[in-house]
Amino acid sequence: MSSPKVIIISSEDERFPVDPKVAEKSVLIKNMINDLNPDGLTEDFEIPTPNVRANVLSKVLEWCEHHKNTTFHEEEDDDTKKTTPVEEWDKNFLKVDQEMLYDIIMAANYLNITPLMISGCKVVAEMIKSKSPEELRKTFNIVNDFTPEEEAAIRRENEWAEDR
Amino acid sequence: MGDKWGDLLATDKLELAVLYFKSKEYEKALKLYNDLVQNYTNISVASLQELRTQLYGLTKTPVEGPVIHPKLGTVLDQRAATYEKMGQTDRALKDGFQLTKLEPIGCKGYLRVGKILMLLNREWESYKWYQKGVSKIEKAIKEHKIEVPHKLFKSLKDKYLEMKELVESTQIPSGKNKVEYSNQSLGMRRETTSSANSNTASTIVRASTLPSGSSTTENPFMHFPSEILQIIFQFIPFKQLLSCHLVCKNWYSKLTQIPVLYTKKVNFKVQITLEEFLSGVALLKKVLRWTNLKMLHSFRLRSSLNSAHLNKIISTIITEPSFSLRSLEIFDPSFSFQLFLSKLIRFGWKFNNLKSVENLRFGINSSIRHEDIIFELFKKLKTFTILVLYPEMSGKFNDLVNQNDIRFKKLLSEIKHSDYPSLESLILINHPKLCKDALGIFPNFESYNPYPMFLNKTFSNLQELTIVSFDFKFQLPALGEFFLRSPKLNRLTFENNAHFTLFEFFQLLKNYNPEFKLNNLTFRELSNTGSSSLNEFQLNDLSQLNELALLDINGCSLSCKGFLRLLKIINKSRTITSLLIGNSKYLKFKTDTFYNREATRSILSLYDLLVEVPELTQLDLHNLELDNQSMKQFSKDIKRFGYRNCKLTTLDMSFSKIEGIGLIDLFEAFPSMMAKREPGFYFVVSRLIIDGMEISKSTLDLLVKNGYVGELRNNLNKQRWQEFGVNSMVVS
Repeated sequence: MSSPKVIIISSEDERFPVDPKVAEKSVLIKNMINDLNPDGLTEDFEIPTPNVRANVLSKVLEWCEHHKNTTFHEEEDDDTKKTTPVEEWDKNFLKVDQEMLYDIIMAANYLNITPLMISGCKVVAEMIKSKSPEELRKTFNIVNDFTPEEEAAIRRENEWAEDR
Repeated sequence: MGDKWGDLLATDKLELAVLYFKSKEYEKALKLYNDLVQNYTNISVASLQELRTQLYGLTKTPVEGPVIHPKLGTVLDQRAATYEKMGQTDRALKDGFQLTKLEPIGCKGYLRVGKILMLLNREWESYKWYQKGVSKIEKAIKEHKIEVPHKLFKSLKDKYLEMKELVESTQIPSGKNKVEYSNQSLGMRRETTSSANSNTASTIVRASTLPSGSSTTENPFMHFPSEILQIIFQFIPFKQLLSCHLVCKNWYSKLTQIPVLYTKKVNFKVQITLEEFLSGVALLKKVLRWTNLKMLHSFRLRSSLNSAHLNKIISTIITEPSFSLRSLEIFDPSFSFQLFLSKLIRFGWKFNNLKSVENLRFGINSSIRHEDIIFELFKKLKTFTILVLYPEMSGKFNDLVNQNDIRFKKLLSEIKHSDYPSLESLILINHPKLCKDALGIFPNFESYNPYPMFLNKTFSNLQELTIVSFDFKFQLPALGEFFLRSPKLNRLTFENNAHFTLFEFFQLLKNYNPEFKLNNLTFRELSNTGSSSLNEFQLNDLSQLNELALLDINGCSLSCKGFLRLLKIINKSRTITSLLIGNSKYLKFKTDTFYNREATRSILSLYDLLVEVPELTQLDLHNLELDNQSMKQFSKDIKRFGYRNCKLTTLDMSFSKIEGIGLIDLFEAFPSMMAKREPGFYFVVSRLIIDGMEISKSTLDLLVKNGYVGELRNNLNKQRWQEFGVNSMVVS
């Protein structure tokens, strides 16, 4: 008999059977398994994720599979966290269209997969970094709804800071 | 507020808030609701009971749940509605949850929570909350024979049935504990975000923005909840974060509602004016409205436009009641202790927002006075740094302090023998020009004391001590006593101090024999005449240094023999991994000059050094007399010690006479050797630093390309070692 699987069910009811080790990259799923099966899994365990669509879930599980043996360290130091670039594999993995990227981040947040969410957020931050407000409006198709007076007031409000 | 009039006033406020809400002035409504929640929750239980019976004709205590003001539930519910309208569903949800706890058999809480969860596309949880409400209230009706508002209860039951149908038709969950698990997933474990909000229905948001297939990128603010925006924007530099305020109103309001983005590091620009400073403070206040703690973790003022501006800025820092500071850093040529104290006196010693300061860094002009008082004022101080930034001396700052102030006198009288156990790190950096030997004349005592401060104090938990550019004449006994009172010291830095040599430091350790065990020792002598061979020390001396990991004796006065003897004495347990011995007049390795003439003086060999310090990973030899001949010898020494045994990863040989050929020799990077290389049979380092030396690029490329060196730094413009010292801040 093969060992029990965790079956994750997408919003469209598509079933994704995976090894517990892979599924447990999600802290949400890990806690659920541990709480409901304190003596370990003896049979297949179904978990519905009604918020996650199948194409997103399959990407997220691809990430979990790749990282099933990775140990992630909580980066206590804020500066390290800020400066560490996205890991190469994650970077390529996240080269997806923007809709998928956003959905992966949301799913990682919901499933509580912090390292994936951080990588995703860093990719979004890269899209924002070193762009002027005008460039940002262009990138994200945003209309400037400030009056010139309001804009001037905000500029004054910003005239005090230094990065380092 | 327990009285009748106060209660009527509050009722008026509530009515006004409802009006604001109806006219869509949500900010104004919210402010009133916040006031009301505070009012209603500040009343004592006794007064509440009185109010309930006399004013509202209720029982003293409710059938179920805690004793609360009868209107609190309504206020929370309406505030939740307000938040909902403002798009802050997480806060709305929090109020909803709170309400179900305060009024466990009231319909409003369950209706509110269910509605918000529904908005968030969390149908299953929404259903569960409706169910919980209906069952609780039905049970209470049976048990206590009470009546509940008919209309509300009916709408709760209707909602429940409606959701039941919906949930069963889409048959989402099978797990029994679904609700709890979803709640666990909510929110990132961040300090400020509430526990609410998970998967904001992506489909809804998307439908309302752009048609699918559009090539533009979707605005993250329309898609993500604030806890994800928080993570994204933590990766954005602060100034750009501020410039993002200009994008549109939505970005501005959402960003300024994530306090964590602003409170960690508040750095003001140099030459700041009072107006600019105040605009920064205003923005911070706006942001801090959303936190309870009102705490800024680090607050750094670099310099102000002039002393008039600084004066007012410091007044603002001390009196501004809206936030408290964890770390405060003020660097300014017009800044002095006297100025700081005079402000405290002027404001009657009220400095609540500085009460919990743990880290202070003061960059001041050279008039140090009354500095002892700092420890009496800030009892939570963990790290304290004084940097004397300007060498001009003047007594004029002394007049700033009103010596007759009663509290000031009292404080001065209190500072005598007490212990300050909170302090962990003390860093005193004087201006090098004020160090007696460097100055050539004795500074005027009236305004300036060249001796290190605080040596008569007790900091029983002190772990780190740094003293730079002071005069230790007649001070060594006091330092010895200080060491005895500091058993937890583990990082010690002395640099550029007059009348204090490495030899004297070792003698001090031997004579006083303090308890501490150092992990890091940096001792950079100011100047030295004559070398020492440490013959006076036995193998069991200097036990304080037996656990050292890092030893930095840049420019030391030890002879080669003395240096090796030191290593024998202190590195018995093989703990040293980093050695910085550059810039010495006395430490010599084999060179061409020594090779040709019979050297009478002893020289160091890398082999002997590696034998004494086998765990060595970092070796700094900058500004020593090294040349191509030394490299040949190094290569032999490393081979003899064994490539596998040698743990060196970082090697600094900046400012030496080594040429390209010398480096090739060191790594034996000859074309004939490369083919035969096998791991463990040749010398490699992960970092080679050779600043200030002209070496052909092709040689450097060869070393990196063939894997001899991981990372190579060759900065031609670097100056001599002083640039990297701890007092480099004050040497321009």
